[in-house]
Amino acid sequence: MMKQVGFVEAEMVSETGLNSSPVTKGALFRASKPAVSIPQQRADAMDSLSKYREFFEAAYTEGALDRKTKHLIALGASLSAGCDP
Amino acid sequence: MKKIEEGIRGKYAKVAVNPERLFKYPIGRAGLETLKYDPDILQSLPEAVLESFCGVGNPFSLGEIKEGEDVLDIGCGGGVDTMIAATMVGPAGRVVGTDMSSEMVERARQNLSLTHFNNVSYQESSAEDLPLPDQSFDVVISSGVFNLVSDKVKALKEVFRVMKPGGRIMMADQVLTGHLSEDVKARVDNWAG
Repeated sequence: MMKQVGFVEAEMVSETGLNSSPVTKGALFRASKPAVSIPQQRADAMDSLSKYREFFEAAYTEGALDRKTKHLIALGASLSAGCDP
Repeated sequence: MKKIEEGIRGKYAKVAVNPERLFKYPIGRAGLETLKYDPDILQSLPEAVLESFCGVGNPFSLGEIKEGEDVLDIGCGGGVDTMIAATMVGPAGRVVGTDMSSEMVERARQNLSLTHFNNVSYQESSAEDLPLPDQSFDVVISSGVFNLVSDKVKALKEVFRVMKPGGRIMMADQVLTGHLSEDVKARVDNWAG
């Protein structure tokens, strides 16, 4: 039930020894809320992606070399480094 | 469901006045000592406050509460755990206790008036609808309460909502280990047990 709500590290730790009826037992439970929420993690990931796009666009902006030449150099560099271009 | 809630309110209105003989386990100082609450903290609280203790476990045994933290006690009863938490968080921290029973909230306020704490407050509210802002507590404690809550998922969602990211819930409660009687009155009594 706790995991369903979003808690993590949910566990029943031990019994307390105090039972309020013959069919119940006292028990101790704990759980945590994630330090960063899932919407926040998504926002952080989108921010990183956006920064990478900015870098990518800046790197391939036409300057001393045109965009096509830059892409060909990048392709050659990635092939020689064994990367998947 | 309404009948169950009325049964719980009725029982805890009596508990607020005199909890003796209403529980099947040790309460008051005896309960606190059985559950190994910090004797130094117990020593610092008035005996009249300790008499109100009806908890089923020691949530403080589940992890440290640090100075300056904000703590919420859901179903605070006479407020003993809130004052223990207030001792742990110190003047830089804050403790809020909620209870569905107006009589218990009144008892907690009376108990608080016997102490020097000025960072503890109480509010009457159900666990399923906390009148508290989002992400406002580092730690949520509770003892013997969620077994009485009819919509447990809703109550846990409320805990999640009011808890700061990285916050902890430390909770003692009763879990069912067998079959309850089919008799309706017995069911209500057990629910409020």
